[in-house]
Amino acid sequence: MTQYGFYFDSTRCTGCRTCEMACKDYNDLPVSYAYRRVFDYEGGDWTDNGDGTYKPTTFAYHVSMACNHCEMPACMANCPQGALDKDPDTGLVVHDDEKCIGCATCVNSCPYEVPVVDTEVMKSRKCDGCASRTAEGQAPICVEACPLRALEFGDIEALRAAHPEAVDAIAPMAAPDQTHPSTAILPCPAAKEPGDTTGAIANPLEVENAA
Amino acid sequence: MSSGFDPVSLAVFTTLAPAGAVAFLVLALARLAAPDHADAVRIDRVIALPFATALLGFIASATHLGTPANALHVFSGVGTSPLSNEVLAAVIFLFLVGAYWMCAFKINFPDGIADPWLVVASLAAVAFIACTSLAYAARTVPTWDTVFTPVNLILAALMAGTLLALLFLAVARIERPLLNRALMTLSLVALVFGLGSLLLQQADLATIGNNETTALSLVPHYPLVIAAFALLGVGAEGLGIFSLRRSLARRGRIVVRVAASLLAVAAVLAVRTAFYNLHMTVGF
Repeated sequence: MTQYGFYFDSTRCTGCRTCEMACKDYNDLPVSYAYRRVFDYEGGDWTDNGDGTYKPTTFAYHVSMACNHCEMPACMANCPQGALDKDPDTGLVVHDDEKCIGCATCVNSCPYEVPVVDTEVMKSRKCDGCASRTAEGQAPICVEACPLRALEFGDIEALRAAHPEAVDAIAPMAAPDQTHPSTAILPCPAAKEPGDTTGAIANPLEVENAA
Repeated sequence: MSSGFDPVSLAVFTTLAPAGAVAFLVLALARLAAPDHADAVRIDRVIALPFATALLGFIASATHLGTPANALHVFSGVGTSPLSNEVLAAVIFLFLVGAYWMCAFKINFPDGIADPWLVVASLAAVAFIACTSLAYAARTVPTWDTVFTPVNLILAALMAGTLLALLFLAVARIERPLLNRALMTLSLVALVFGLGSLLLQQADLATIGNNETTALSLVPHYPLVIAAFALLGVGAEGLGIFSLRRSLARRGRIVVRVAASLLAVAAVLAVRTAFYNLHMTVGF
């Protein structure tokens, strides 16, 4: 099985949200949630040099994240309905409306808070990697929309090989050992390791999927 | 955040259903050991009460579902999803107990059928309590995936379930001092150990956190919840012990045990509600 996934270049991302908006537009999403979200991760301090000068340790960077189409998705493992499954050809985590009961178990178990229960239809919703576009050989809409060309999509092993400096996760993402996200992320110089406690998500209300 | 996830209905479910299962277990054992047929028949009728308690919880749990019409697919996750295991165990338990209660209305319902049926239903009750206690073992949710989750749920079910059983036995006019004292002791022991487990959990929470938050910040009022559990639990146990007095008329005994059961259920509900507030993933 080929496992598809996203490559994200955090050295290029300016946090402009074009990926997020293009996705929302393409998928006709309501105001309250998004399949792709841009996390602003910020932190740091001033340190007193003792001579009347101060040295800043502040940092800020962006992480654009959609569904990570994990190798071992927690949403799929915990869904009581079998409504989430990995596509046998692409490894993308797909959602079946016919089986979903909207119990929010996927919402509760995903460490990336990717799935969301849409309270209009009372079913869970998530990024499907633009399955209908990729089936026709097109890239997902977020990838095409990025003005900085910071996103790529494809066979994740090929992407990792093409970007040997890329890692699986940077803060504020969860450590990759739980679900093995199909991600390749080129860390910018400011990027912190997962589990970092020196910074915080600066836009929590923006990235909260409010359903 | 409205995510379709309703902690209240799930707290009601995980309070009532396991306690109802424990109460059923006690009635089933009392029925198996019933000295005469008249006792057995009165227990058979009263089995409606633990069944209704568990069923009420089960129905409450379904109210938080967005699209219950698709619910039958739940069995496709048996073996992989702990929630599917829980629902399957609940359905088997409720079916066995509900069907038993109805069949037992048949005049001359033979013990040769009743006894093995009750044994199987009791095993289903144990399986149901076990599956419910493990339903939240999601590896990505470190605040739920601890030993305290099943231990707290099982001890709470024993504490409240035995008091419910005392009430149901009084309703069935079954007066066996030895059994009553054993149930009271079990309830008291479950309360003491349940409190111990909650206090250990409170200490353990300090070690859990993710990139963005700490477990303790999710339940800043946890010590208060534990205190409420202790106070309500002690009140319930006190009433339960008072209800053992021989001088009490049957009606008074039932009233006191209703009050004891309500206090016990309230104690468990407080802890169960806090449990859902504890939700946090390994992410953010």
